[in-house]
Amino acid sequence: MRSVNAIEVSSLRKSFRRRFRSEKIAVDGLDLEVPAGGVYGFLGPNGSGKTTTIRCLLGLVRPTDGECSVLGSTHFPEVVRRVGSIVETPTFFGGFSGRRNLELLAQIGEVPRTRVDGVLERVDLAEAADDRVRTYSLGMKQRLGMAAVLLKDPELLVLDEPANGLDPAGLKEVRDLLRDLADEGRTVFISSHLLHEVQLICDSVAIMSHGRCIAQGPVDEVLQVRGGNAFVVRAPKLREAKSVLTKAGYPSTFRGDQSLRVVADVSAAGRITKTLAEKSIYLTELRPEEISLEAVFLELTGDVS
Amino acid sequence: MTGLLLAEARRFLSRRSFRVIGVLAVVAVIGAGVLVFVESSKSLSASLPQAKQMVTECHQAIGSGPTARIRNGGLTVRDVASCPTIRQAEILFDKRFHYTDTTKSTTQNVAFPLFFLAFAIAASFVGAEWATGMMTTTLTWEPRRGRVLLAKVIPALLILGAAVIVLFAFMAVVFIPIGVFRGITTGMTASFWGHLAGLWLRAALIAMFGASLGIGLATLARNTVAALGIGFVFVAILDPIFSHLWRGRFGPWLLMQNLQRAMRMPIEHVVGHAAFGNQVTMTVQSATRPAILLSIYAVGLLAAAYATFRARDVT
Ligand SMILES: Nc1ncnc2c1ncn2[C@@H]1O[C@H](COP(=O)(O)OP(=O)(O)OP(=O)(O)O)[C@@H](O)[C@H]1O
Ligand SMILES: [Mg+2]
Repeated sequence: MRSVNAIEVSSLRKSFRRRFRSEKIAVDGLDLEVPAGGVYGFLGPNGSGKTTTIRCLLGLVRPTDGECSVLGSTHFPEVVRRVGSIVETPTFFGGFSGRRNLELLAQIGEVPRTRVDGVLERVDLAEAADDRVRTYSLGMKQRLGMAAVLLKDPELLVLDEPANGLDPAGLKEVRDLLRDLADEGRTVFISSHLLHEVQLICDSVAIMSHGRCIAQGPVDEVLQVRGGNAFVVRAPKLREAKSVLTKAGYPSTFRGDQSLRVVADVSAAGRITKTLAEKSIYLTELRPEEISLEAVFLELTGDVS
Repeated sequence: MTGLLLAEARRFLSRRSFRVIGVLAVVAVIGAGVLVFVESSKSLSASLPQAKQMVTECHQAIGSGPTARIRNGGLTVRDVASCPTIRQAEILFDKRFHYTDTTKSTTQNVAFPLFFLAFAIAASFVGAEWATGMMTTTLTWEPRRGRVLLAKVIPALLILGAAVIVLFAFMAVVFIPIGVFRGITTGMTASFWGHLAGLWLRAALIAMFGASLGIGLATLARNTVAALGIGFVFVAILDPIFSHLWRGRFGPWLLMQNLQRAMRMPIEHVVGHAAFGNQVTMTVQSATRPAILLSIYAVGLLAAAYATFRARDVT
């Protein structure tokens, strides 16, 4: 029976033996469910165990305890053809051109070599394809890594900080690319520090700290950890609007920039407009308040340590 | 698996260490050929002056030197020592290039440096992959580690073995004009060629053995330098020490002696009993035992390397 989750991790533990010192616990009882389809963000500060978890998923590291299943299989070699991955900085043969590197990988993965040009095009590396990888910039190596991932035409992409070293245009390209891949029905699992990027493209996230998962679920839900939903309301008669809304059961406060912060469920937008309109207050702006993932992240990961 | 094998073979062939050493080996053969060509001469009579001088000096030393008058149990020195004839002395200073002998002995001797080169090239083939982190990339494309290791071993062994044969064949060809113009080519019979080809094959197998050791050690150490260091300490220090301990009893189990036997080289063999004074003779011994023993060593090391590779984390 195949599970609906693309990745399932249960009570995963990994400790590394260190010379002359106590063991280092990198992952400490992690449970994770990554639904198939969509972009899943895997967040956490440096050293929180993201890369180690990814290495466990890909069979590079043997878990001390617990289990990982990828595309319904606990034995990674069975599904390797369907999983494209980047672990930390992608490594290639410096002496070979980008194209030659991809051709070699295509040969290893028994993927038609005709795909190489297409993926180089897709990551915008066609021009530099025949230069030696040694001469590539960090961002270009990162793109080549993405190209290698796409070469497999994978169902699941496991990407460890794919945006590392990309310029703003590159970031946007990767963002769009990942979004497109998810829209094609693939599952994208990315670890990242770039919370703004993650917030822009991820459907769900998990936040790691010290080897444990401290929050996971759809992005909106995780964001609600910080006081639930609220709207930003701007209107001509702000003081009056505030008392009207508070009386109507929507606690409101001044934000200090000629607008109100109105605590209400997402679905309440229409009712807020109506409530104010009935009192002849016509609002000029109504938008959900953005809670940044960064704020949540710092709050959550801050008080654990 | 075929794809992986082919990819690894391509990687191996384009490695700089392999190419540079290959070119240097070809240059060395040509350079040595030119030197030998210049140093050799077509006829035996080239050594006549030296031979004459030697014989004259010898006669002077025996006939008129102070030693002639030494009496020793009623014998003169002339009775126990004799000087070579000019003909004999000529052979001693022979400057002719003896194609068959030289080609054969050079093949035997060059097999050893090639063993070390194969060891080093193969060790760096694996060690470099660990050093660059390329092993992670490879394993995300082929996670079955047995296959990954085999795909290193098979191309490295086949390519290095073939390279050794090609190099020796090239050397045999380079030597032909030297034999023809600056020496003698007698003895180039079918049986000679068979014998020579046998030596090439042995040298190729020895290089393959070296490559197995290199890959095995580099897989265990995950590092080229460490693998080379272990290999060096063993061959340059431990092997010679052990081979002289306990009247050479460890010799038959050590690398160097087995490699020499495999190349049909005579090895030291102690006969007799210590009480009567050991006699050391040089004998050529069968290569069956070394072949089996070295194969066991190579397979054993590779099996240990596989077991470790399989069990250890790749981080
Ligand atoms: N091979 C290893 N031996 C010992 N400790 C290790 C090893 N690999 C990782 N660790 C430790 O495990 C912890 C988690 O490391 P990991 O690389 O998974 O973190 P990360 O979340 O990916 O961090 P970053 O955001 O910096 O990439 C770290 O404290 C690290 O020191
Ligand atoms: Mg990491």
